[in-house]
Amino acid sequence: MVPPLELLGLVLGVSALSGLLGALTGLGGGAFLVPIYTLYMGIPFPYAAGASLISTIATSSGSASVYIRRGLVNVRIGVGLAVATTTGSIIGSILVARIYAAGLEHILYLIFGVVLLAQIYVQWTRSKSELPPPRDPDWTTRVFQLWGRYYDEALGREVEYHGVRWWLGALIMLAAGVISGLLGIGAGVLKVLAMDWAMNLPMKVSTTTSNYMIGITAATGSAVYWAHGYIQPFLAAGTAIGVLAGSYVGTKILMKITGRKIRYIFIAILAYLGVRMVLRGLGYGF
Amino acid sequence: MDFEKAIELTLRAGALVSAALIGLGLVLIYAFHGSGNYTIPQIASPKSPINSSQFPVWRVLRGVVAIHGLDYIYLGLMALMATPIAAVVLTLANFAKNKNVVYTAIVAIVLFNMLLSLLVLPLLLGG
Repeated sequence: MVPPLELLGLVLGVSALSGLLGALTGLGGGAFLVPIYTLYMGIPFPYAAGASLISTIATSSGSASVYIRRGLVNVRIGVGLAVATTTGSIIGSILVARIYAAGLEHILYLIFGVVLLAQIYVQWTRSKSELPPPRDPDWTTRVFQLWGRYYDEALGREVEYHGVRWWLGALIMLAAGVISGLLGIGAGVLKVLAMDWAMNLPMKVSTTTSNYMIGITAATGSAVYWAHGYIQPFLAAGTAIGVLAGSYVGTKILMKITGRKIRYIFIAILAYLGVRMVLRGLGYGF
Repeated sequence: MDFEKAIELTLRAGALVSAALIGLGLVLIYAFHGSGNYTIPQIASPKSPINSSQFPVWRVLRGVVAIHGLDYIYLGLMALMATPIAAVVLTLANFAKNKNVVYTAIVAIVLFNMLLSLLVLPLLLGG
């Protein structure tokens, strides 16, 4: 048993590191946090997921304020798609209570591992170009007013863009919401997939808008988590502060990192954690 | 003040206020060697039986008055959860003001979902 003060230090340290790595890999703090808490620190899955979910609100609020100021977040598109993510989050967080009650926790480890590995794959293969190939507007572009503009620093000019296929984006967002409610993570990569691939929005807009939406989604799921008692105050407190600090530093460093080698190392750590979660879900080890 | 500035300020203030309350709660727990009837070893354990299901809003508010560290943490977490809700309310007001019918309706549904999970579902789930 770890003494109380040491436990606080450990929680703060692990969550700060998770926040840092989450920001650098673009996968969010929960991707590292939940596996480390459950596999190595003996924290029950509900408490780990609860602390993680609460912490994603903190990082979303903290960083979205910066991105909104720079005009990168499309608040209209983000809040519109939140119809799907909040609905998904309610479904996921109610479903997870049934899973715990039925003693099927190993399924959550399995899903977590698979989602983690899938997110790594999506992030890895994601297009590195700033702007997507142009597509003609469709009926959803008009009805859901999927347009905007921002100043792109890399390109050095104002970019006007429009999105398409809102329905497809919303469908993926619904899945992202369910996963967020089930596992206590932001599932930001799925949100990015919905906006990049399905809706054809520029990378910077999809990344920052997804970041803003994560807070709305996680706040919805957290309320259900609260009622079920998945939020342990001590763990949630240390995690929220640690992840907030770590991701702040991570975002600052991200601007300066040019070499990609260092990111490969972090991705390798994540892949390892993903495989460990799958193995635990299948009943191997521990 | 324009709309985006208002959202930005709301989010930043929410993150700062909640972090401050949570930090204060942790300090209080260590300063008073516990919180109310709970001791530090009970609170600071990975498998602690203390969790949010025992802390409905009215109890948190009473604990805040009594300077119980745990309740400051919970107040901070509530502030954190309230921040996106406040941002969505601002967004709804902005769309309504600009007579954007489609988005006023859509954001109203988002707000409905958030309030449903906050106020109604806990009752239905018996939390």
